[in-house]
Amino acid sequence: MSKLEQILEECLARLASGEANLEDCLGRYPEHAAELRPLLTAAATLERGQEVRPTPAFKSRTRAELMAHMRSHPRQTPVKTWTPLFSRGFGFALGQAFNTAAGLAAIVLLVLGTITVLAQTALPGDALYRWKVGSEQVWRAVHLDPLETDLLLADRRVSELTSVAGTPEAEEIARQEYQQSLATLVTEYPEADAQAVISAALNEQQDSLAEAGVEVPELDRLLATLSTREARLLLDNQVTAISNGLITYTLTITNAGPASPISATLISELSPLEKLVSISDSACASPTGETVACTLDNLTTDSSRNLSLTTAIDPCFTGTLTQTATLNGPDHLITPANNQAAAVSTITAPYPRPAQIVYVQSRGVEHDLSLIASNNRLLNAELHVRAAAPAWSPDGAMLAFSGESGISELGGIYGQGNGVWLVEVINTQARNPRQLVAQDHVNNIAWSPDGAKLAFEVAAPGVSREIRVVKVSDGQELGRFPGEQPAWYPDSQKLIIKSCAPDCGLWQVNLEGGNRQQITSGDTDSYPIWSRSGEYLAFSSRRDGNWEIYLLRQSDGELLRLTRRPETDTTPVFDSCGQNLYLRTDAFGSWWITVMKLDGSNERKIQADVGPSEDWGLARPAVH
Amino acid sequence: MVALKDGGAALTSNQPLEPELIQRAVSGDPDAFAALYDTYIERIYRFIFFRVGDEPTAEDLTSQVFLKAWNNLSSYQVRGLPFSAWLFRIARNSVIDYYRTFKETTPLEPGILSEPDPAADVDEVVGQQLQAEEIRLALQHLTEDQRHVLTLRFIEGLTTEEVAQVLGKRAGAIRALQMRGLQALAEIFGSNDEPDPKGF
Repeated sequence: MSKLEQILEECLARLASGEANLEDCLGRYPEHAAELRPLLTAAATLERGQEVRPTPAFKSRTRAELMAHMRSHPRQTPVKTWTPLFSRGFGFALGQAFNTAAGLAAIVLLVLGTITVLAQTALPGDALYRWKVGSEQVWRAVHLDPLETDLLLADRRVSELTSVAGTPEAEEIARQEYQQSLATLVTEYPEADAQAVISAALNEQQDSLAEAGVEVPELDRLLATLSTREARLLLDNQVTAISNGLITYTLTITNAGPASPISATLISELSPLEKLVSISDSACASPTGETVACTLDNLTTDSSRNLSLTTAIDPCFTGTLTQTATLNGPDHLITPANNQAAAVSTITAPYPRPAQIVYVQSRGVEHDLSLIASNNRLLNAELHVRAAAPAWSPDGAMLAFSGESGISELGGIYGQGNGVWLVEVINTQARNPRQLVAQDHVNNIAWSPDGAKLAFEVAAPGVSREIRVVKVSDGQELGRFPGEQPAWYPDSQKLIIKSCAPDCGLWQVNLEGGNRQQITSGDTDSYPIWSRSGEYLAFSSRRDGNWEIYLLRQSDGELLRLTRRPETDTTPVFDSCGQNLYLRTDAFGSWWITVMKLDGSNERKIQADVGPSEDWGLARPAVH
Repeated sequence: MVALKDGGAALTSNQPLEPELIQRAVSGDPDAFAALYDTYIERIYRFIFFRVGDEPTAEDLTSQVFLKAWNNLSSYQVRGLPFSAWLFRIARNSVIDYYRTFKETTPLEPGILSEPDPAADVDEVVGQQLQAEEIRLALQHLTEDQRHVLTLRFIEGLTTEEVAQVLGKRAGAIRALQMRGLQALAEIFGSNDEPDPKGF
């Protein structure tokens, strides 16, 4: 081994054990560092290849196929590769014979063994052929796997037949011997699994014979008979229920006979939009949650096995989902036309959970929070007093709000005063309040879609408005910069804000206010909000002389105006699926909360008389 | 660095149950063999993937490796190799068989059974992160023995002695192949890192 090879090996070992890093190794051998560095770097580059992995679907599918193969090709306790019995016994017998002074017996065995070995190459018509067939029967009698033995013998007969084809007398003998082998296979192995194995082997023999130009009508008839005995495994896959965001599939596997019993495996590939909730049968497992694999044993004739899978879908999903099931089993027991079935679910509307709207009841400079459902059922008229600018957590479990002047009068923990407060919403009640940030003049609170951050505006009198970004966990400040009315982009890494620096409009910024990109240029464009998918940006603006709701579609850049009336429409808020838009409007004589479709149609009242507010950033509703 | 990072068992099993699993599998227990499959599937797939370069073929050959292993477990027992070394041998032979069959109808992939193809354009991947495809392309510039050694050693995380067992060579020969292979790769990777002379 060269010196460099030795050093390389040592360095690789030290790096592998974590004892050293690259620079340590190079420093240890400075005279070789120049040669060593590129070698170690190349090795490290190769190690990136360890990230390559097979797909979970492939792993599950192959595992199921392997199980099916193992069940249809069972192994026996290992037996040595076949050699004629007498030949195998020769050495042992010879030694024993001399040891026991039974020399004569040994010599007899020696002769018999030698003849047996020589006979193994004999063909029909040869003098030793009968000896060969006889020795095979002895071997067959002691072999642990009779089927394997008989198939091997049938292979031998095929080989002999193709060798002597064209020599009438020998061919006749070979045919008779082969027919005898076929008869043994038919009569001694009636079980379905065995017949599947036999059928596969005979098909291969048929191919070999056809290549040699030898016809064996008995083989063709036997294969035809076997094919009629094949089981018909049928698979049915149905969507049996779609309810409350759950899809239930029922898969039925039927052995229509006549072969019985049969083992099979079933693989169900779920749509990527589904999450497995439950499986009815302990024969099934889903290590990855993407694929369900079931091992089905003892499927008897005319019996069925029902499996039930339940999956959950994203409550906002609409469209079509496809779950595909594939039945695998011994090749000759599966009817290709029946081994795959797809179940299609068509979801025409998001899971119809009523939205929960926290609206702000305004009395000029004072605000309280109330909770109402989108079906107009008032859930809690006094969710929280002295509170404004509500924002739901993405999972609907918590609410953030601006604690206003006077909140400290509530006593207890509220003595901490104004600021950003968090409460848990449990059974429509606000529970476990905690102050996240102590701060006056907070409005326009927005909770990030990833649930980890809050952005809000601080609008202190006489001071430029600024935006702050904080962690929900501990209130740690992540960003502070000039601007107003922050709203989150769906990736939780960007905000859209109102700003006039340098031009008035809506701007996209990062969490420190940098990477600014102007989205709209209307001087009065205000109260932006992104839809969940990022496809729509809603905002209110006085572009036509009074406040209307606008929708900017990202895919084509088209600006849609949803309201057209002389009254004021402002502070739009998407529902959690981005299907509807809630807003504050005074179009009906007083300030109302209404909801409309994204084309401005079907506007209906959610709550009337919520009162005027001096700051719309405090009065904007929150919807979950 | 060379140590297994995840998803694989050490070649010399550190799982106390593996010898028992092997014994049960040899005796015909499908569940035991399935457990061995779970242990080695990722490593066998990865080894094959870097030799054939596309997922469908790698998946197909990987499946065949485990079917062959099941069908021939009795021959494993008499060979005295670690089980994983035996599996890698089957995988290596499957890849070689694949290319032999492939050769009859399709031009041989550069470098698999022939000498490296100097026309293979590694420069095409200049500027991209060294990902799996780039590693595979670079490996094609090596001799077959070098490829086997580097794949087993660094992508599969085997020790020099274990690689020697898989390939049936002496450890000293493996070290020499390892160094020459790394030198060749360093040259290839190094040339990829050179700045574009056009300044783009």
